[in-house]
Amino acid sequence: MTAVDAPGAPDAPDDLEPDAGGQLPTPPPIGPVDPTTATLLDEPGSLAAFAAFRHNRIVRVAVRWVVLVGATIAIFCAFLLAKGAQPDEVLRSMWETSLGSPDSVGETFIRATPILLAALAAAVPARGGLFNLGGEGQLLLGAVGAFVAANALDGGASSAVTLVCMAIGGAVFGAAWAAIPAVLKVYTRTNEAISSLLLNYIAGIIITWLCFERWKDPISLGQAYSRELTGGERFPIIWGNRVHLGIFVGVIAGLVLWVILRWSTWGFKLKVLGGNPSAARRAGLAVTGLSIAAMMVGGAMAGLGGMVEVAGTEGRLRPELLAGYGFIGFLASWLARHDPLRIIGAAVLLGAIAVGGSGLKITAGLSGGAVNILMALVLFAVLGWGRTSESEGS
Amino acid sequence: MTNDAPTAPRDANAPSTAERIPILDARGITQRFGSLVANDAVDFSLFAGEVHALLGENGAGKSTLMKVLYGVNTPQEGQVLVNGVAIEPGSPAAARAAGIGMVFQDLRLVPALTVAENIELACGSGRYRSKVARDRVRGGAERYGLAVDADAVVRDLSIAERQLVEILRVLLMDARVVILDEPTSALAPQEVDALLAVIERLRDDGLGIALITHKLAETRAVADRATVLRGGAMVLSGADPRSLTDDELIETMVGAVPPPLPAERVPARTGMPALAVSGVSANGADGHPRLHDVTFLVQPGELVGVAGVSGNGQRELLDVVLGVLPLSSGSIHIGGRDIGRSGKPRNALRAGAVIVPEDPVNDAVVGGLAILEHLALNGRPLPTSGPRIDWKSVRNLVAGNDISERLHLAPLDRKVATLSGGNIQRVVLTRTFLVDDPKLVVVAYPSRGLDIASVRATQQLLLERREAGAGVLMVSEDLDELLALADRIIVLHDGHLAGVVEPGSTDRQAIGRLMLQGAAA
Repeated sequence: MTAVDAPGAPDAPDDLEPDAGGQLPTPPPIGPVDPTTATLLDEPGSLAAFAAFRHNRIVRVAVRWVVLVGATIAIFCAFLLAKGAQPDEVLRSMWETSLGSPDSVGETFIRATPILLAALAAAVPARGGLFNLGGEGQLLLGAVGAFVAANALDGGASSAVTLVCMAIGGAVFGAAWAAIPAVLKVYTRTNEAISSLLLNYIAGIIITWLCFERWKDPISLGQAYSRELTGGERFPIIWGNRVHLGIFVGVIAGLVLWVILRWSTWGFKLKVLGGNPSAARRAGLAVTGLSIAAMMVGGAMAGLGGMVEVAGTEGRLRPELLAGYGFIGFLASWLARHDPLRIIGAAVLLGAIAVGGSGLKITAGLSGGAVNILMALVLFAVLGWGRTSESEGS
Repeated sequence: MTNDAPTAPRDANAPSTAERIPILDARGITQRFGSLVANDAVDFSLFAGEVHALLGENGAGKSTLMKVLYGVNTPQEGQVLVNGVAIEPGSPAAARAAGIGMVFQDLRLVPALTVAENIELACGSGRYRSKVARDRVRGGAERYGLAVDADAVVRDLSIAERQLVEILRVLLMDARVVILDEPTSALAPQEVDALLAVIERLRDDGLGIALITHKLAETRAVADRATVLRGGAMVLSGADPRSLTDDELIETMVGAVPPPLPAERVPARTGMPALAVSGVSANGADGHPRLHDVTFLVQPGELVGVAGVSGNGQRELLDVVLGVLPLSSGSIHIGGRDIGRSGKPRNALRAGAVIVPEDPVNDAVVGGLAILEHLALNGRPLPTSGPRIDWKSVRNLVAGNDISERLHLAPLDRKVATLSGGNIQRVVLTRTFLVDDPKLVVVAYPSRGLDIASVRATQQLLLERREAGAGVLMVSEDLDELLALADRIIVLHDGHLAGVVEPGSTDRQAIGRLMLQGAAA
């Protein structure tokens, strides 16, 4: 069940669970029929067939998913009932808002993109055994970096050049912010989880200062935010009113990182470092450089996320910009076990829940935070899934 | 040593029913992992008042069988009976309740706690009362004649002393069956004798002792019966080991007696020393001084052995030679190159060192990676083609010689997490021997976890490296191995170099005295 298989290693033999080795007959796959009941009803007397069926790997995976998803939804429905809402209506409206139409799918991707990039910010260091809890601050610094680039160009370049420069600015600022805990970790043995976490608050103060003082929009009438990015400084809208080109940035970054982590020499070294730092050191790998680079690549991803948010969705710097997205991204990374391909899926799922939850106040009179309960349930379900499959594998 | 029949326990106080019913009886145990049959219809019985040795090469299924007995594994077939009653399979709690105690190879004590606290952790009522716990330990130590100090902090104890604590812990949990997993692997000769005496005393006390081992000498010394596993199958069941010769026993374990090592050795070369350790002192990872003013040379084409009771500076010596630990004083040259004092392994590796570390699982391998991937991590620059690693060249390197076959390396695509300790050792050894033309081969406990045939193959490969002109520094706990291979043996005691001895002119007891008492001996 490891996220990435060895190059050249066939996928199948090693991660088979001990009792799935083929000594039991494999029943023919069954279509969409609910697998738990099908054989019981068909052959009520045949316990052996049921046991064999139960041991089939695919069936077990399917059964567990059905149970987990069912339990997650059931608990959330119980919560809705307790709050006096109609579960079926709420779920239907959540579905409609998040995935029911092209526009809402686009909205989901708009929400998913910063989650995805913040998740990559956690995932790359995690592959090297480091905890980056600073996605939140790195997102914000990325937004600042994008503004710095945009201000420097001041409309003096084409839109494409401007956006590329803004992306580079965002990535550089995010990487630099992430380099701080990495350097502290390597040279002073400060715990990078703590220092990256605390830097989030400093990043928040920087943004607040910029919005209230340095970059305050002169025509904002007392509102604390920066000027609005305009024209060539914004991602073009590709459909509807809001869906912009920036939604591809996260997906592309995820795919690129997946290739790098899976196939490149650097990805291999990172895997060795994450798997066993002592072995990496004794094999002569440059552990210091690798650790710093991993954090900086992660920070660059979050920085890109901040850039996409201001250049695509928001258009301005606000003190509340992207609040909480760094942490949702961190969760997404753990949900996906730091595999960029799975992170894309996890980010879209969490993005859909976030979008679906935004309508809860209107449709069900619930607070917007109610949707966090659903996110937490998903997290528990997936982590619980991971635990059970691991314990069977050992 | 007496030759009582196993069915007649020598303990006169044992209940009479024990004369016929074994206290532990595993029948027809079959344990499969996927397509691998780790135990194939194996029987193992143990009567009160006997020592039953379980012999076999690495991967023969010894540990699997012991885990079945201790309830960790659930076998597909067969059952475990205690005093004639079947116990629930797959439940260590049930096994413990039935009186089965296990002393694991990797001792499981908390170093920061005292002996009494450790034992209370395992068998206390949940409420710690210092006096009760200490009285319990003292009473137990007296009753079983074990030299255990209740107030000692485990961290300060030697491996041999910790083992006694583990045994006492098991006994205080009312075990009637004690399973010892390779108990002598980390002990000095005198400590082995002391442990075997403890085993005999426990046997005379009416306990059943299951002794997992691969050492023939201790089997002969204490075992009343021996069962031999090979490839998961039982090739010898409960036979009296005294009725067999050493060669016969080895043959049951490995199929054939390995060829002897060549007696003729090329003399060591002169010239630039492969390793020069001069006046080295260093602190351990915990910051305490662990090496004191150690000086010695390894010539090219010379094999220098390092003897010592585990924890007397071997780990630190290996770490300073590789450059993992910074030096507090002195210097280290490999092939004439100063590797510096800062603690950077790269310097030592670039100077031409290759190493099998003391603790391969923690310091050499990554569980999630395949064997092939480990073979690229030999300390030399990774073989790359463009942005990727050239795995094909690694495969070619392996296929280009017979080292992997001689060491019985598992298939290259197996993940290391699925390998046994012995197979991990094979991975690390293969990786080390595949490095072309090393100046210095540093190898810790080369035969750890290996079967007799692989041990011999490893020893031959080490001698080949030596003959090819590399300096070899070998740390071992096995005095026989050191005496058979080394040109010189340096003995470490408490971080000091206690002495340098020539294998031809020193007896084992003298080396043992240096190991236990240092240069004062």
